[in-house]
Parts: sequence; structure tokens; C-alpha cells
Amino acid sequence: MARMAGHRQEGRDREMENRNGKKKWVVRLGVFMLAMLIMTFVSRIIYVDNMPRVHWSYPKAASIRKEFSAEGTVEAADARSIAGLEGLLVDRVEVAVGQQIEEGTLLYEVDVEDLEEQLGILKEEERIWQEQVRAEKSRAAAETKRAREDYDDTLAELDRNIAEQNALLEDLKEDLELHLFRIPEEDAADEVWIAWADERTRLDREIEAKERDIEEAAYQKEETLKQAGRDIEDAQSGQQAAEGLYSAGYSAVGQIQERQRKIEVWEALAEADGRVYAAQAGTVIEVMLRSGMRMEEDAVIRYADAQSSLVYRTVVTQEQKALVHTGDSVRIRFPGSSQETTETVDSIVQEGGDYVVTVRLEPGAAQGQTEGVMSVSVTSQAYDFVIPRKALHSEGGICYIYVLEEKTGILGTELTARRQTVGLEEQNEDMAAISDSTLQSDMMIVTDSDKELENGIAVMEW
Amino acid sequence: MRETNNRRKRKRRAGSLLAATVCILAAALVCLPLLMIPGGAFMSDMELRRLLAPILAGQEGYAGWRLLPFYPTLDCFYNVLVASPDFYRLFWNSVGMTAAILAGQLLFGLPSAWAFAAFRFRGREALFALYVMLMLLPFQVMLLPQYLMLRSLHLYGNPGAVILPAVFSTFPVFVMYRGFTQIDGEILEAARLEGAGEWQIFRRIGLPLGETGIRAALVLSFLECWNLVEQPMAFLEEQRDWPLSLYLPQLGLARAGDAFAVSVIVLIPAVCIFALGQDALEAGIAYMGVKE
Repeated sequence: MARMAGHRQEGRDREMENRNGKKKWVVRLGVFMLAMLIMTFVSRIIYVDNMPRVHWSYPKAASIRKEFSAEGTVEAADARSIAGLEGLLVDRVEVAVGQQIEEGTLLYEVDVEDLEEQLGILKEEERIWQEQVRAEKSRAAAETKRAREDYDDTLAELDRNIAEQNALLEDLKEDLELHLFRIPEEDAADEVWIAWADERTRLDREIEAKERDIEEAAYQKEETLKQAGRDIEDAQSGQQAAEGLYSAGYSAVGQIQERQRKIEVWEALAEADGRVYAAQAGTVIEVMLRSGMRMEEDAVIRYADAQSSLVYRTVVTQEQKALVHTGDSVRIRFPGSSQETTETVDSIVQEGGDYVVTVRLEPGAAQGQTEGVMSVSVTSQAYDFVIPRKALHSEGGICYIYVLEEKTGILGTELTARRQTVGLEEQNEDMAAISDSTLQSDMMIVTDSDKELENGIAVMEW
Repeated sequence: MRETNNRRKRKRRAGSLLAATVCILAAALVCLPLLMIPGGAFMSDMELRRLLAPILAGQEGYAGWRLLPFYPTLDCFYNVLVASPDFYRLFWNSVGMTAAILAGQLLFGLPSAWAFAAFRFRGREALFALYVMLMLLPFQVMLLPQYLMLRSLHLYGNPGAVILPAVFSTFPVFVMYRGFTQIDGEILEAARLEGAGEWQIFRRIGLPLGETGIRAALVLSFLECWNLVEQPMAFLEEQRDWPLSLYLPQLGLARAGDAFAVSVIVLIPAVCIFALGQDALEAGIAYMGVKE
């Protein structure tokens, strides 16, 4: 009985243990499924978070409008400049840009004391230089004279030498003729004949040698005279250079001339007590000096006749130049005023890698203006597929776009970005005209993305 | 005499040793792929590529393997569990399909098995023989008829195309039937004499006493459904409807490490279910061997 009860108890314990074991597996399975459920959301969140968000648009048929603006300056076509006073100290400037001036209006004054001091320095430099030139001239003349004398002496010496050689040659020829008359008898001894022949041979050789000496002397004369002639030419060149200022060196000529011009101008200025006046009536268009400054090359005052026409000049790049041509109409706007004018391009001239565009302005069109902004606008032909410029990508010279497509995969139907190569017809800063045989007007073209796209990547609409 | 006995004993011992060695070797050979899975799941991509270079990169020589990774990493698990939402889609597809099939089998298969076990009616043997015959037919034989039927029912390409045929599978009916036949007929007769209705008998006697067979059928069905490959490939068109068993071929050799990690994860529910129903499974297999 007790054994049966024990067996029963043992069975119950085993069953309980079995149930507990199963419970543990149920709990493990439950935990696993719960973890998988949580991870499903986590994985999905990460997937969506990493997914690029895109804007898209359909391509449209349109034209490409190209525009650009360039800042430039308004200048008088025949403006006068007061310059050439570099190095002087400005005492006072009397005019300002835009000021109307009359003929004889005082433009500015230079410091007279400084002017006289500078003028004195210049004059001293000029005096020293003039003395150097005189000394150089006399030295060159002496050299020329000496070269001519050397030439004459050499010529006389060579002529005398050749004459002596010719005389010796004539003597030898006479000796030979005499020797030929002294031919031995036919029955003379062999020794006589041999002696006669030897003498004749000697005379022939001496004559030949002398003739060669004469030829050589003539050649030497020619060469020596050439050299002597060159020496004379060199001496004469030196003399001419000294007389023509070239003795101071070719590069210094400009400086000397500039110094002489300066002396001339400064002397006139000193006579006018350092005052610079306007040569005619007009408008001051540029003042590049101020009181107290020492003038440099660009220190000028420019003024133009009030009736003279104005020109607008600006610099454009090679790309911009393709949009503007001589004879085209351009708009010019003047900062600080509502004034805007439409004018015609007068000329386009290349300067280095850029181009200078000149527009002749109508009289009165830009009165009182010194700067302006030129606007050029060109509209292209109509294209079938025009997209925002930022939708177009380029790599290695190949242009491509991303097209949105619906694709069904494991996660269901998703939007994916497909890379499509296209040809670029024309573009401006905002839009681009593209072409390809596979393009269609209902294609969804990605225009913007918050992450970098790659072919086949799943994306979300923004 | 004693010497003869000793010789016999030695011979018997040597024979046992040889048999044990052969069995251990065979078992090791069978278990080897299973042992490779955890190692591969924790291997880095670099280590896997180096070991499997002859397969992956077509290099000369033979592919190697390490049971323990030299550079253990959780990269593959991260790739699968965090960076692959598609894995979860298929995982929950498998969970859903398996749950639907098991529920369907309980709903339709359980009463069928009880009917075969508890009632005697005309044509019962013939009908049961038909069930057994259907159970023995391989899937390939049933593929075309099932395909035609599913097309006509507009279920082709729908998860129902996999669920419906499995719900009416005859194998669980057979296993549950075998479980119900273990109930003593006299108990059922006594209950009827006591005035119990058939529903009461089924619920109060059939289900508790046939629980082992039911659980065995459910465990076997779970393992079969969890690993379905042919049916989804044949009847499902969209990848989004696939079960997890089709995810591994999808990964390919380039993501061999991820495939090992997926294998480990896929094994977990199967191991849990097996542990839950191991006793019932053993009993159920024993029932199937009992002659009627």
C-alpha cells in the first residue's frame, strides 16, 4: 500500500517536473517571439531612418532662359586725364567726382617746396648724364680715328709685301727662261743632262711656291682688311650710340626721355606755383588723388566734356561671352537709382582669358553715373524634357538622373531610384534640358534628396 | 570451458567497440552540418571569405572550416536582426502560415480523426484507406492537380494557396486518429450508457485522453510547415508572401555568414516546439507503429 502511494507520489512529481520543464520552454518561446516583435519594429525604424527622402517632379517642355549680370564702369568716350606728375606731393585737391568744372578751374595743387626740391634733383641727374654723354662721344670719336689709321697702315703694309713677292716671282721666271736657252748639246754627257734637268725642276718648284705665297698674301690682305673694316664700323657705332643717347643703355632711354619730359612739365608747374588747372569745361569723372599723398602712376583726375558721349565697359568670362554678341541689346542698371537703359553692344574685345564688352551710351543716358550693372538675357529653343538643374548629376563627363519606380520585393511595393544616363542639351543655373530616347513625360524624376542616392536604392517621398 | 567463455566475451566486446565507433562516426558526420551553423554565424565576413575562397572566389584547393571562429563577431546577427527588415517580413509570414495551418488542422483534422476513431459507419475503411493513400503520395504528384484547383479557386499566388492544402493534409489526421484509438472503447460505451452526448464524450473524454496524439500531430505539422519550401515556391508569386524557409536561398553565397545567422534564428522556435512536444512526439510515433 505504502509502495503504491510512493509510486503515485513519484508519478505526480515527475508530471509536475515535466510541466515545469514545458512551462520554461513556453516562456522561452514567448520571450523569443516578443524579442522578434520588438526587433521587427527596431529594424523597420532603422531601415526607414536610413532611407533617402526625395522630392520629385515630372519633366516639362520648356525653353532654357540664360541670364547673367556683370558690373562695369561708365567712362567718357573722350575723357581728359591729368597725370604725369608722379613723385610730387599733393598739397590740396579742389574738385570731386561729378563736379561740373569750367575751363581754368583749379583742380589741385602740389607742394611747391617739394616740387622745387624734386625738380632740382632731376636737373642734377640730367646734368650728370649730359656730361657722361659728352665724354662718351669724344672717346668713341677717338676710337674711330684710331681704327681708320690702323686700317690704312695695315693696307699699306700688305700691299708692299705683295709687291715684293711679285718682284721675286718675275726674277724666278726670268731665270727659268735663261735656263731653258742653256739646254745641253745632244751628245753631252749624262751628268750634264742630269744637272740641267735638276736645275729646271728646282726653278719650277720655286716659281710654284712663290705663286702660292702671293695667293696667300692676297687672302691675308683681304681678311685683315675685313677685320679692320669691322673695327672701324664698331668704333663708328659706338660714336653714333653716344650721339644718339644709346650709350646709356637701351633700357635707360625711356627713363631719360621721361626725366626730360618731367623736367619740362615740372618747370611749367613751378612757374604756375604748383597749380593744375582744367584745360576745358566738363564733368569730373574720376579723382584718384588726395591731399598729402605722393602721386604714383595711377594718381589722376579725369574729366570729360559735358557734351561728349559716354561708354559702358565691363569684363565677361568666356562662358558669358557666348551669350552676348556685337549688336545685341543689353540692359544697364545704375546702382542707387531707378535709371535703367537698353543699349546696343558696340564691341567685344578679348583681353587675356576674358572679354571686354563696350556699350556706347546715348548722350545723357548715364549722366553723373560712374558704375552700372549690365544684364543679358537669352532664351533658347523649346525642349521636350526640361528638369530642375539639381536633378541632373554628372560623373566622369556622363550626365544622369534618378527616376522613381515602384518595385515589389520582400518588403512589398517600394519606391526605388533608378539611375538613367541622359544627354545634356542646355542648362542654366536653375534648369537643364535633357534628351534620351527612353525619356517620357510621366517619368518621376528625383529633384532633391536628403541622402546620396545610388542605383536601385529604396526611397521615400518627402 | 572458461577459456572459451573468455574468448567469446572478448569477441563480443571487440564487436561492440567496432559498432560503437562506426555509430559515433556516422553520428558525427550527420551532426557536422549542425555544428557548422553556430561557428559560421559568429564568423567575420573576412574569415568566411578566406575559408570558403575556393567556393566563393573559385580559387584552387579545398574550402576549409573552423568549428570555433578565430575572429568571433556579431556582425552577421546585426545584419540579419537589425539591418534586414525583409527577414522579419518573412519570419512573420512563416509564423502566420504555420499558425493558420495548425489552427485549420485542429478545426478540420481533429473532428475527422475522432470520427474515424469513435464511430463505425459505412465506407469508413475505404475512406480511411483513401486518407492513407493521399498521405503517402509525394507533393510532386499532387502539384499539378493542386495547381489547377487553386487556379480555379483564384487562390494561386495567395498565401491561402499554401495554407489551404496543408490544412486538409491527411497526415495529422492519421496521427491523431492513432492517438484516439488508444482510448478504450468500453469507456466510450459506458459514457454513452450514462447518457453523455457525442460532443460531451469528444470534449470530456476524447480530447483529454487523445492529447498525446494531438500534440504529436501538431509538433510534426509545425516542423513541416516551418520548413515549407516546395509549396511556396510553386504557389506563391510575390516575394513578400514567402515564408522564411525561402530567405536562405535568397541570400546566396555572398552573404554566407548572414545565412548561418538566419539558420540559428530559424532553429530556435523549432527547438522550443520540439522540446515542448518531445514526449508526445515519441508517443505519437509509437502509435503510428501499432497495428490496428
